[in-house]
Amino acid sequence: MDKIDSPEEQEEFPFVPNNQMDQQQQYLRYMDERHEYRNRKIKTSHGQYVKVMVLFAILQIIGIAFFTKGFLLSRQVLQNQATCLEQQESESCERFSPFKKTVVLLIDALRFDFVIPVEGENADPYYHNNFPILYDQFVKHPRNSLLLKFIADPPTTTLQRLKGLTTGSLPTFVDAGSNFDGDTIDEDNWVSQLHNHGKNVAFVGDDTWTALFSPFLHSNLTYPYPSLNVWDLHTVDDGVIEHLFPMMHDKSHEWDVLIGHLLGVDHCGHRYGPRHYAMKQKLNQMNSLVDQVISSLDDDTLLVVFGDHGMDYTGNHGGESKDELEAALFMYSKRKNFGRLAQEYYNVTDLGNNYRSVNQIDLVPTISLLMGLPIPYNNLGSPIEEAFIGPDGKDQHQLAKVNFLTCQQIHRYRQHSDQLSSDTVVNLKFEELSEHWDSLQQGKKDQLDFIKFNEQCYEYQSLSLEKCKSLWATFDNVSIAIGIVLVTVSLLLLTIYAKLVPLVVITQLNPQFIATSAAMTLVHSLLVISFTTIFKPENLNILWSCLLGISLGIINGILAPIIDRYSVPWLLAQVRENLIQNGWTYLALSVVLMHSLIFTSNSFVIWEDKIVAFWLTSFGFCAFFKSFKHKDSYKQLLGAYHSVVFILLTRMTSSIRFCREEQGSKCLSNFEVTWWSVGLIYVSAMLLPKMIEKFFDITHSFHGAAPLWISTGLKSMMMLTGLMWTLEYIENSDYFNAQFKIPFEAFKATRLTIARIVMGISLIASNFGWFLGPLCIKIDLKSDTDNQQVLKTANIIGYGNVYGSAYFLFVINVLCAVLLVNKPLGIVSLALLVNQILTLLELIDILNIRTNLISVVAMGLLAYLHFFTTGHQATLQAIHWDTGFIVTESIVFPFTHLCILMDTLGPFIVVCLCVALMCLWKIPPTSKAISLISKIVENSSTLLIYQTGLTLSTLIMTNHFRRHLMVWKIFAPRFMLNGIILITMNVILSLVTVGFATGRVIKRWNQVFGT
Amino acid sequence: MSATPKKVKKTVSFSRNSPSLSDRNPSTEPGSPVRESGFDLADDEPQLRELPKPSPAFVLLPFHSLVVVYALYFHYDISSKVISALRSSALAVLTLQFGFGLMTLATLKNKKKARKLRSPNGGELMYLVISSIISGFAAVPIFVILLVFGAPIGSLTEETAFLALHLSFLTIFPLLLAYKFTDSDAGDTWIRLLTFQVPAFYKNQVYLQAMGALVGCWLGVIPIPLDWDRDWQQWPITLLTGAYVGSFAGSLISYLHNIFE
Repeated sequence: MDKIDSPEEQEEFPFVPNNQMDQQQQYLRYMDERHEYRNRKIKTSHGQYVKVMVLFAILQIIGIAFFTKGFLLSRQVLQNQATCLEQQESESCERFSPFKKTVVLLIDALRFDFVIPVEGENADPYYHNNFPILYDQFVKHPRNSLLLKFIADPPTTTLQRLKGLTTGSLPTFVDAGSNFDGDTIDEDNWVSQLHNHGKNVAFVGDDTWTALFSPFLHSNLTYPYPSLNVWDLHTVDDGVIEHLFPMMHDKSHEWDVLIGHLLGVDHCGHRYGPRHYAMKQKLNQMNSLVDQVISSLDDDTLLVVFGDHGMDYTGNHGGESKDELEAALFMYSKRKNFGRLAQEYYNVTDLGNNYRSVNQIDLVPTISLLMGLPIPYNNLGSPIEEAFIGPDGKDQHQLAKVNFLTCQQIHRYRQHSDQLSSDTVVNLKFEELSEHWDSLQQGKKDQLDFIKFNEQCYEYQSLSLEKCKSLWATFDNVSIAIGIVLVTVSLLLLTIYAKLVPLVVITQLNPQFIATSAAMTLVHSLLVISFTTIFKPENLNILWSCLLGISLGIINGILAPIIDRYSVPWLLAQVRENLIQNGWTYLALSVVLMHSLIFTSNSFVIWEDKIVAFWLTSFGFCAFFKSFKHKDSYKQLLGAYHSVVFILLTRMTSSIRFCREEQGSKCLSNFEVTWWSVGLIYVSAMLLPKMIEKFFDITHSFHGAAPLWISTGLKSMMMLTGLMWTLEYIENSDYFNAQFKIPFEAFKATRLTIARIVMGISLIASNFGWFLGPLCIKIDLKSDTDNQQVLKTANIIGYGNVYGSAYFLFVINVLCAVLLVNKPLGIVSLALLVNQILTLLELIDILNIRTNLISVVAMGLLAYLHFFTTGHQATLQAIHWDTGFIVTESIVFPFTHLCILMDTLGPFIVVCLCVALMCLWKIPPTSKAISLISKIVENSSTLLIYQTGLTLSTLIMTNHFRRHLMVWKIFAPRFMLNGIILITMNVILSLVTVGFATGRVIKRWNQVFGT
Repeated sequence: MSATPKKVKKTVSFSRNSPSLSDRNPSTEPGSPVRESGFDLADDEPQLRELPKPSPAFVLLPFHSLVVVYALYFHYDISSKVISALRSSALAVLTLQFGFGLMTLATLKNKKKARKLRSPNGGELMYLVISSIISGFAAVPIFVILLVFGAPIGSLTEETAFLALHLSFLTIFPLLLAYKFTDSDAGDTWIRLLTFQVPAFYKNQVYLQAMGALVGCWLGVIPIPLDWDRDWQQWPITLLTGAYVGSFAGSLISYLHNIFE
């Protein structure tokens, strides 16, 4: 609390002579003009800072885009359609089965061990032994049925699987990102082949099919249901059941192939995980469904039931763990059609570990041949043996026929593909194969010869598949190099901008940066575009060359004014002068270096969560010891106290764990929705506002708007969020469902209403209120009678932290929205984060490291720590898709996307906002507003430097490890995460932190008090 | 009249309250920017009283640290059976430390006289015993610090406890020999030792030995997450090795530093 004399002191002089009055008025007018001039100046330089930050953001986004374009390349897709004329030299294809019709039931996420009998301690009451009919049929009717393990190719997302299951080709990683909007499939596939051969395809279920195959489905017999609402377990399944049986019974003459895609099991996994009674109900329902379908099949119909992927122990999928890859495949018919291999292939012990497995793409030639279609052109799969060797298992001749047809098609495809045609090893193998086939046609036909030939065929098919797999990680090196260079240059420029050139010079140079960049962007764009039009490089089209031109323009525009003034040796000298301030900076630099280096090893990437916590604790210890170097012994103790609190909070936070699969048995997840985690929301709702109040009290800032925002606003928002999760918990708990009949509809409606209220208040209403400029100060008017003179004084309470306290209210606004979309333990983690940030701000003040690199690094590490402790990992399957449905019931742009983004990057958003506080917290109003803004820009850019360093490191290392076994599992997801974090940081820092909030706080104070 | 607002401005002036914010002030000469207080304590911090510094000596180098590491790996086979190796080696390690303590005490005492080792008297023996006991108790806070740094809570407790004990004997014990708790200003000295307020610490051989143990232990975590599947990656072998090697390295660095200066 600073005590100042207020302007009201003027009242001390009630009788002023006239000429003095004039002087006073003149002075006031002068002050007014000066005030206005200053305000205008602040506004202009603030705007220029924001513009330059946006320039940096554009540069970095373009760099990442180039790398992504080059790295996440897709394989070559041939548009050719297979025909019977080409494959079998006749108008129609031979049908290798007696079946006229087929029913295909796709049970999403049907993991293999769900359908086999599991005994002993491995058996889970919820997901084992609840879907026994497939295995029962397999055992009871060996010639009528077939049950196999069905191995998916990663990524195990439904869209990619559907493409693989119908085209027989391998998926590419880039498709995984477009899981939300699949375009119509343009590769040859068996659904389009059915359509081309005049068969009617009826469909009911997941609407991904209509997105991919709508031209080929019979329009009167198509019943799609929305697929991505993972909280809804029943709509799709009920829809399938509702339409499936009428179509099978009454309209059976209208279709030739009936496809049903059931989503309940998958959604149940996403929502509750496999270990939940809902999973048991779902599997039982599937069991009875298949039972009914079997009983209503006629003799000429083939039934195919399969899962497109499995699920991991959390119920999610997308990666390549064993549990995610292993699905089940079941075929059944009333006619005896299926053979068997030796009995030991079908070993169900040990969760079916040694059970015979086939690839998912193997379904494609199998189904095509069984239905009398040409094998799709791009197919790489092999025919499934049991389906062709006849009920006695002896018909090797038929198997040889289909095998050779498949091999021929694979060979044809390889010859047409530029990448594959020159592979002599595979081509030689095919020549041997054709010779063998010719000799078989002429010579006497011995069973053993056929067996040998079939073995040779399978060898060829698997060799071809292996070669394709290794080849289709092809990369566009030019784009990758451009991307890496752009990000590297942006890192250098940011360092020069934020840390090397003095801030005052930067303030003067900003208009030059903007003007030169604008001009140079035009020049470079023109240059690059004309280069592209003349030389037509294959990696660069007009759009990308335009982007390249823009980025070069920005680089040139920022570099030119700097190089104009300073020499390189001078800039290098500044590293010692400005960047490195003391021992703290060395610590910070070593942390940045170590953090960049962890991307060189997959083990370190896997354990990043623990590593980050370790560094933060180390920082806390350094702060503890450094506190004792303070002159003031009270400050020494205060610093030590805050350090200890910081360390303990870090340890508490890091005990929330959400493990990734690779961490294995050394990590036990405790990130779950349970009664105690929901209870903890209420505890944090009580404690967090109290803690913030205490921190405000240090500077006597808990006045004005602060009680409303913190004690009322934040607390009630958190309570509502807690209520929402309580409803959600009751809805899903075994216990409550067994005891009461829960009105699900009412619960759902209440939940959504609460979520929308919280979201609306935190993002719209409270920000509107904040924009009006609340301040956390109290003006304490006093009048003292002293020596017969009345002294009127005004104390501004909370003067010592005017900017910081007002700014923090804005952080609370955003925080509420972030809290809403996080899961219960994530909310606890975020509450701890706010506490840690406030502690860190006190430490920064005590240790006097406001513009030191270490403060920014500590902030960045906090964001990473809480990224992990809010239940995330750098993997695709760890994304909380279900939080997208907190505010809306179905997918609504942009709310669903916004929710998922805020959930995933919540800690980063909060930290980006709080970076400004490092310079705003605990400072009294300043007359040098521009210098304050420039310091905030410096710190924001420093955070960007840190993150750019990490992103650059992942770009380089991911590119380096592109043939590494783990690249798609560990490095590529980490690179994608780093890219998204960098983009988000750029956007939030430039537009929200500096652009909106900082400008508003500083301008507001100047409006009110006009210092 | 016009002076009043100016006065206000001065009292709340920015640079007074937070010097760091003005450290890139243009008015400052480019050659001498205002620097924040660094580790070099010369600038603006209160001049610390020089701590009595044990004079460097070759005999003070903890060669037994290397012996302990060697014995743990090759005699006790710590890689394959961690806990039993820790248990069975404890007494031997203690004896070695005790021996080192005797030697250190004698060296430090005889500094002024011709370097002649003589047998310790009863008081010194008593002091060593009490120091060992104190070091044993000091393992408790070190244990807590290890937990805070991320050691598993609830599992591997005995391993962590042994690590804490070893660390205590690598840090507190040698310091107790150099800075006796029987000295008159022991309290002040020890507060400064424990809060790292030791001027020119790199010249202080015993202190750098203790620091080296801590730094070595800190660096010892690096190999743990690697997926090499080696036995020696088990908790807490790498930290223990790091601490012992670090303590020798710290002592050696300080010794060499003193010699070549």
